[in-house]
Amino acid sequence: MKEIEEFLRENKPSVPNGEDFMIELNARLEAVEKIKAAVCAERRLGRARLLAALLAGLAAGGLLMALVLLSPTLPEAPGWLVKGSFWSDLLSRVIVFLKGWQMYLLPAIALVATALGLAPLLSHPR
Amino acid sequence: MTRERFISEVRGCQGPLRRFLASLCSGNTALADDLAQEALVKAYVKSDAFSGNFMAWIFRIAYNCFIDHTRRTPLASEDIESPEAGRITNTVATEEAASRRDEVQRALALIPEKERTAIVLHYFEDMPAKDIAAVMRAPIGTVLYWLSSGRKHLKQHIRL
Repeated sequence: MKEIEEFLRENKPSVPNGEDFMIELNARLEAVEKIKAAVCAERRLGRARLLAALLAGLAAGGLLMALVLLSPTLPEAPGWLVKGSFWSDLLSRVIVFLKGWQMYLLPAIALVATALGLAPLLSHPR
Repeated sequence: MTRERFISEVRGCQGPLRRFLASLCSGNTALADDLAQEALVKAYVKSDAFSGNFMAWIFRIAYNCFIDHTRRTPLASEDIESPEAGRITNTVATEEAASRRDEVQRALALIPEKERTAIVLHYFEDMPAKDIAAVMRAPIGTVLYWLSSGRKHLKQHIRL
């Protein structure tokens, strides 16, 4: 067995010079770094978009709530609404608000839905 | 790990790594270099989580790449006799030495893959059984068995 061990140790294969190998590796690592940077930038952009959407949602929600609260209650409340309760009052204002603003609200909802549908296509054109 | 530091670490072990993979790939240096590049890119991507023995870590990733490659496309038996086989001996000074190294390469291609890996790491890269066990994710006893049976199998294919 010693013979085979010596034979193997004495006849280690050798490989060609590694300069070309290192040049290619360097180029690949550079490409990896570019991809990493692009992924990081995309993530940052995604977070910024999410934050913007959250703030816009909060602002829109706050505005809507303000408009609802500023609306009058129904002059003649239907029987299923318990008069005097907070939630009935609110519901009554919502109904008045929706009746008064429906011609603006429905196109606004359609616009937001379209924008949400188009957003991914616009950020990734391919 | 920064790219500069990674490159400097790789510079020290690229020769042994490529020789290891070339020996596993029946002397096909082109395939070995492709696998080494793949392994090093994978290692670089994961390098932030690395700690410990760089060389053993790189060898383990490279070995996994080799295993994945052979699962996808098993090494053709013709590779053993093809001109690619033994190409890693081109830099050898004498014809006799070149022929001996070719013989080693052909014999290695004829033994089971686990035994070949253990033999190559131990005799070509001077790696102790403990490190081989870490690279191959196997118990030390199993590595010692592969070394022993590998030597026996090689003896059948090498004229001493």
